[in-house]
Amino acid sequence: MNSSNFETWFSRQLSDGLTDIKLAIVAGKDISNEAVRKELLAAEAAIASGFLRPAPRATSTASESMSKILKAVNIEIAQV
Amino acid sequence: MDDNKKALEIQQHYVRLITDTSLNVLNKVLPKNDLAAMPTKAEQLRPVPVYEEDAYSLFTVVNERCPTTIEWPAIPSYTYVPAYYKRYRDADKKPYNKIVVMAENYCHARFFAAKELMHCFLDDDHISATNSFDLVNSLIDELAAGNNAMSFTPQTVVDEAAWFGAALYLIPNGWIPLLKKMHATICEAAPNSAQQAFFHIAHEIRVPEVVLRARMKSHAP
Repeated sequence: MNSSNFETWFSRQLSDGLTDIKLAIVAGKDISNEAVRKELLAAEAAIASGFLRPAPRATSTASESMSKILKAVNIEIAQV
Repeated sequence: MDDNKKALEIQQHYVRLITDTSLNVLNKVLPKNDLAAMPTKAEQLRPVPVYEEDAYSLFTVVNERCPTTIEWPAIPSYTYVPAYYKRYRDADKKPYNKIVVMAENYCHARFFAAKELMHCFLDDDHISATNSFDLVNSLIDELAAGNNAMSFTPQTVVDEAAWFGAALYLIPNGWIPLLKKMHATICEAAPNSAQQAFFHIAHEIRVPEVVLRARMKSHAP
């Protein structure tokens, strides 16, 4: 069923003018072609339904003591 | 042998292309953000912009070339697919790109978005296009299998190049000497924190720790 859904989606994309698709895939336990397709279709369904979120922004802050150590680092131009 | 030689030539072509591309983009982005190409002081370091709205970024450069959007679907989580790239041609045959990013962590989102944005520079020859059901199936199979099963088709080679280009962009070659000094400084000044040295440095420039480790390890001294 999932294979059919993916084929249907992909065919529709080609009809809409799709000329290329590439994916970032993080290999993990139980990864499969079907699992990848499922995630892609879930993302597409969310987009089609307008379920979007803001782009991630920086939220965490560095440890003050570590930042102090790092900010003080210099190197000589000769080393560059 | 001929097939292997051809595969190697394709790989070398795309590595050269993405290296030159990353450098050219950095030559635009760094000065517009008052970032040094070869910083000598850690206080000069800030994250190289990827999609941030208030900065001239990689996303800006891509859009100067071809209309491109980034969409952030609100899905509960992902396991295997943090991002993907789609390219279309409209009714007038004009190209446009859509990037989709599921990664929520800021550092990861920046890296995955950068990787997919790199595809916007690698698309002109159509040799590497994934434009049929068989090709997308093969690509998913190979990427899911990981490096052990790579067959070095143009599609997978281009994907490898995009990862490489993203890492080069986020952590410019000229930054490596300073980053190495920062790492050594942490190890010396805070030995108890040495194991987290890469994490702290990665946090400063907002890249995934694993990417920083790989860049610093692979860059020749």
